[in-house]
Amino acid sequence: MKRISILVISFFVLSFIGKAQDMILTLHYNFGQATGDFEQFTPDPAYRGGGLNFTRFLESNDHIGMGLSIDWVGFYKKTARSTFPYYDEQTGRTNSDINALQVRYLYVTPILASFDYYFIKDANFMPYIGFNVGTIYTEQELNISALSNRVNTAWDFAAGAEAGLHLVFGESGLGMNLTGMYTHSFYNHTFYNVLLNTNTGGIFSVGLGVSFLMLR
Amino acid sequence: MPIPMRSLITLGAITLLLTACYRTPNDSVQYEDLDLVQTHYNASRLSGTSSYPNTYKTFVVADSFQFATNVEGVSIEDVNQPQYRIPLRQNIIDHLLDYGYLPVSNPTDTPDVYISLTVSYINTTSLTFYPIFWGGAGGWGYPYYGWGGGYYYPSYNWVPSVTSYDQGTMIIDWMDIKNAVAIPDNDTSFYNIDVEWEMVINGLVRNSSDADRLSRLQAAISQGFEQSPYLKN
Repeated sequence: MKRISILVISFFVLSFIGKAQDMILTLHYNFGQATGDFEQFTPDPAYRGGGLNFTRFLESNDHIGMGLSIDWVGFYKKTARSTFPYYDEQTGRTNSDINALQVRYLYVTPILASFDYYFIKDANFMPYIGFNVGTIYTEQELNISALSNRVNTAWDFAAGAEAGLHLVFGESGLGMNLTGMYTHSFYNHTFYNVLLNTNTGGIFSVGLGVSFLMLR
Repeated sequence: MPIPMRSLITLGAITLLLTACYRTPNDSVQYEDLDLVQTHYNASRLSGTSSYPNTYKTFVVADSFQFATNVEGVSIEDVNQPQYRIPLRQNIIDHLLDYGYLPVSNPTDTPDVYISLTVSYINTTSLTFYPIFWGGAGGWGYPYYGWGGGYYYPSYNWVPSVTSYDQGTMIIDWMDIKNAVAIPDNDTSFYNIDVEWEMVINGLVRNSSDADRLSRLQAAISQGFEQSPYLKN
């Protein structure tokens, strides 16, 4: 199995090199803001995140790039102590009140195919726009003081848009990347104990990183 | 164009710079953050929204804590140290008086409500089930208060397992003596008593010489009564 994967990877890598197509590899640090129901769950901006993008340009039109990106953003919120009813998961009724604080985590990992259009190539300033479509892995965790963790994980469909630019440092093949990205997730989950529903949400993230440009 | 060596060095440098940007969120959790006050109520008797009138008038608060544990080496005397027991019990009595209930005038009178106090100290680290034993036999009817002189079985109106009884739990049970049902028996009288309201205070015990443990428990007791306004008589 390992040998096969090495063969497959080598095949792709060699095919890229053989065709000498333009490619850009980008590594970036991400920070983000949740929107929609995600924002209700974790309203604070996230400063934990990162991403990797690999874009390859079409032979026929080298302004169009297609690629794959993997991002990660970790949201966190500790709510103030409050009193709220606690529901029975089976009956949906409550005969109980809890005074506690909530510690919430939301970790999102979008894995997206990206389709980008570059307005300018062969310059030190390369702006682009694009759209992304793929899947998102969501890990939603709710802790109610000493009550044990409740974690829900799910894979969902995700789509989004992106706008960014590369600043190329001369002939070095290195550049700086700045990108703004919105990803919409179709995640849906309810914590029935506290009737907390999260039905679709978005992540707006800003990435700042370094790009490796392999352009002819 | 192959990636030159200096790009890799630059990449390393930038990665280090970006790592410096990483901001750890303020996600440290204090002991107090884990304190939890949960109140259960019998919705048909004490929800405040039902048509069932609150007919309880007189009360007795148990004068010591019962003790349930699965840990050896902790005794019922440990959970009844006077510096904790006396102020905690007084706090409960003050809240009951504040809500309009009256203490029984004579210690031998039968109250409408018996407030039982329980501390459980459960070590859950190596357990999948909780073999609790009740420290002090027949503890439900405390002998100082001799209504009938029988034994009392608490009967919960909810599923107690909703909350995990974790390390360091104090349970305050509102036992409905007024509507106790006697169960005929040959030797002695048994009573089935409904628990109509319950406060569960849950938290982690910092260490044995924990200075703010009393204030945390006192605040939790006050919070439990505060979030149960339907108890007001």
